[in-house]
Amino acid sequence: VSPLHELQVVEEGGALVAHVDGEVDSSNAGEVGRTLRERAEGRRLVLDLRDTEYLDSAGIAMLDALRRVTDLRVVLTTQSIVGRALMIAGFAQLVSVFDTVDQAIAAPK
Amino acid sequence: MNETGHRLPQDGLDERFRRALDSILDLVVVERAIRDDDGRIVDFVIEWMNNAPVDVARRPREELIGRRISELYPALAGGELIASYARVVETGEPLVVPVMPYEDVIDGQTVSGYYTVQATRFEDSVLVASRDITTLETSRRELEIALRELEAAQRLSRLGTWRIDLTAKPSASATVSTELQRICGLPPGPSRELDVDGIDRFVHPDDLDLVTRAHQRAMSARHPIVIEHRVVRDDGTVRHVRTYSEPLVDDDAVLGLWGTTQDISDTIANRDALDAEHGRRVTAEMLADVASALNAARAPQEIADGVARAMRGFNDEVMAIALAVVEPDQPVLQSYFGGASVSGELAARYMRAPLSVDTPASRVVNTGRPLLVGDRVTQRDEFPAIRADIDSAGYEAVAGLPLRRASGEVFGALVLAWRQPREFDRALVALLHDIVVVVSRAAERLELLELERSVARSLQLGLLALDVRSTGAIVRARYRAADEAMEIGGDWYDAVDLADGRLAVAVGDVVGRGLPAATVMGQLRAALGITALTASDAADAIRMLDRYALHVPGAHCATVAFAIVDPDAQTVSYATAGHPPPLVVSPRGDVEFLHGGRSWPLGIESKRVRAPADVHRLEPGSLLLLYTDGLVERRGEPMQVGFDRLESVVRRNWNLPLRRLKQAIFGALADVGGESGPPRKGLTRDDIALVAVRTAGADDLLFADAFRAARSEQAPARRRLRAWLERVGVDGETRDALLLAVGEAIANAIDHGSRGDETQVVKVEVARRDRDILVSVSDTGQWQPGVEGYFTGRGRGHLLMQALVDDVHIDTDHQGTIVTLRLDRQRELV
Repeated sequence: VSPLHELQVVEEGGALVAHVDGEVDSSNAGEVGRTLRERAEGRRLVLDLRDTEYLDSAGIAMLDALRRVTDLRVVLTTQSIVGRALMIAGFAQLVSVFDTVDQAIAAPK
Repeated sequence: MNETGHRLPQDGLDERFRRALDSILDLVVVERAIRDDDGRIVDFVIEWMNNAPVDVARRPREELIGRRISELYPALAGGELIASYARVVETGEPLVVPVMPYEDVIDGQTVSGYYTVQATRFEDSVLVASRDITTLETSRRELEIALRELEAAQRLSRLGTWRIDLTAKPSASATVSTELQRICGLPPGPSRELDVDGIDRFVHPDDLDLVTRAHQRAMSARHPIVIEHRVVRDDGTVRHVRTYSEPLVDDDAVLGLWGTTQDISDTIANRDALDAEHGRRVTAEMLADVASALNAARAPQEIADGVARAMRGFNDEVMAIALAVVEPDQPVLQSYFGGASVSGELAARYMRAPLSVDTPASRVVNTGRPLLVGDRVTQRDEFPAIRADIDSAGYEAVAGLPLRRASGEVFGALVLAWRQPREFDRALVALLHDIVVVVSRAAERLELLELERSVARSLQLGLLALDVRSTGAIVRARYRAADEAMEIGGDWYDAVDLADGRLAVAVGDVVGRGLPAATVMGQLRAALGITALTASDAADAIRMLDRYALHVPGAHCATVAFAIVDPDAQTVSYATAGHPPPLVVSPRGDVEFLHGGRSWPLGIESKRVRAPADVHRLEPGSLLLLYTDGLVERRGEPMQVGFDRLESVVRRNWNLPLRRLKQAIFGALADVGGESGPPRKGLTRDDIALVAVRTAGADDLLFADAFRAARSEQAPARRRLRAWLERVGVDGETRDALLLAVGEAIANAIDHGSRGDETQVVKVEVARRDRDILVSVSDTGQWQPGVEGYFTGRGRGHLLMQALVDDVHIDTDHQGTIVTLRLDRQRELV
């Protein structure tokens, strides 16, 4: 079984930049959340969801948890299903959403 | 006996004397004594007789003279009369017999009569003068009898006569008859006079005025009157009498009154007794009515209504009835009100009331004793907690009686209420007790019936529960009882996973209803479950089931359709025993009845060999329907019409998710007012069982998938669905939106519906329709949106589904929970 997602995490400009490729649902949201929390707790976390094909309510719950322990910035394509989902769930209003990783890193708190 | 007498010569009588005797109307006879050797007189011979016409036998005197008395009148031979004549001759003492009955047989004729006989000595003879007093005596006797009868009649009818003479001196007097004396308790004697005061003292003091005025009225109007009043005897006993008084009038002057007084005490007692008897009969009839009404009752409300109706007919003062029954598991009284006069507001408030609230009903239940309250003031004192309701209800009198089981245990109360205050006489209380016995029995019977229903329901739920874990097919079933009240008939179904991924499905129909039918169903179902595991094919399973059915009494003539679905081999092996043919629909919507493998019903001894199973191709995504005849059969209609109707509704709905398909079929074929289908003639009477199997697979118009309820299965399931959506031209935003919505439903089904049991199965069905796409995601759990634990932490899932598609429905039944999503296809175009 191919893994559902691929997670690339890099340090960039004082922030932790995480690139989530693939899908996040209840089967892997916990794992993704734990990994990111361990590395990004208390720090600026730029989450790049532009290549995330699927993110359901379990994934959104994971983001919500991260938002409380990190300085979370999200990069996404608002027209995508992930963007729609975050809008519908009201999550887009709770975090800073950016078009590019650079903008996300540079933006003041 | 030696005759030694001699004849008295005719000329021995003085001629003048003879003539004188001849002029006498009485019969005069000279009879000479005849003596025996000892000189004793033994007989008399007629010497002479006067010209009085004839004797008792109308014989002329020529025939009589010279003949013996004993010979002429055989009855007198050696009798008292001859002895008396002898004494007259011997002693010279004349004989007078004022009335001598005489009866004899002379010349073969019976003669009888009464005679007065006088005999005097005349030499050695008697001169006998006799007079026929038969007519007189007969009249006298008749009169005597009549008088005795009259007296007896008076005594029997207790009718006394009286007469008041106002002109009597020195004061008015009253003459009273024997019977009236008896009525007044006086020692009865011949009619006698009393003074008027003497008769008045027998009139009851309360009635004296009435009697006096009545007599005055009779006299002034000169017209008879009849009154009823009471008489008090000296010993204090009271008699009821009816008195008829008529004035005695002479030349316009009223001289007095006469009349009759009849003792009617017994009549009154009889009248009361008759009234009581009539009352008892009415009561008995009413009780019989109540009993029969209550025996037909199928719910406590019907009992309350029945009692109210019956009481109305019997005693229209009864205004309200409450049947209060203690709920099985809690100290709560559930009340059913009969009679429209109970206000809805009150009824609603007391429909369920804790036993701890002191009301007439709870008092009766708690004490186990009858309660009789005759007026509202007492009610208010007795039940202070509900004073306001007592006033607003407006009932004065209340009676409550405990309902008892056969064991004596109190399980409720019957309460009756009256608008008017009342006294509870013995008859009413007795009636209430009788009613409550009938009601108790009926209510207890209902309890048992309800128990049986609930057992049958549980049994049915158990029997009809499906536990299919196949991932090769989706199975849904529905049972619908013929009528709501009886909830269980003889139709059943089953589906069993076989070890190698095959699935056995059966639908059957046993004769009968209720628990007995359910028991047989259970046996057949269990047997089939086992045979399914070992049978080589469907026909083999039916043969094994048949052998078993021969030993189950209630299984005679049971029918069954049996199918083994093999998703891998893409086949169905099936056989039927006296059962309608299964229906199969290809993934492209081709509908076909499966007529192969048919044989006769189960439990019938036969040497014939049942048909072998038929095998039919079953492509992935095919639909198989097994059903009972209730679905297609309708009164007064050929079966084929039903089959056509079924085929037609299936053609229109074949690719719908199974739950929707079932609804469409039942809506069109079984339910009143279904949304589609031709007009139906009448309601179906039979119960209906339907099992639908859809093998996993996909085609242009449908997608069917089943997988283990594991989180790791979500993504593969989404991928399969995504591939199909793309294949049928659903892509882009629509595809992604649908996938996310369905993904949320799948996640819920896995997490909540299956509660971590990964052997459970989640099913996804999608149908492409003209206007929309319907998706159903089902699990075997019983969860509800909004219920604690669901969506509380992940309310976003529901929110996402709601926002991404046009309709979201979540339905839970005993088979599990289904989320149905509808996406309007027009959205693709916008």
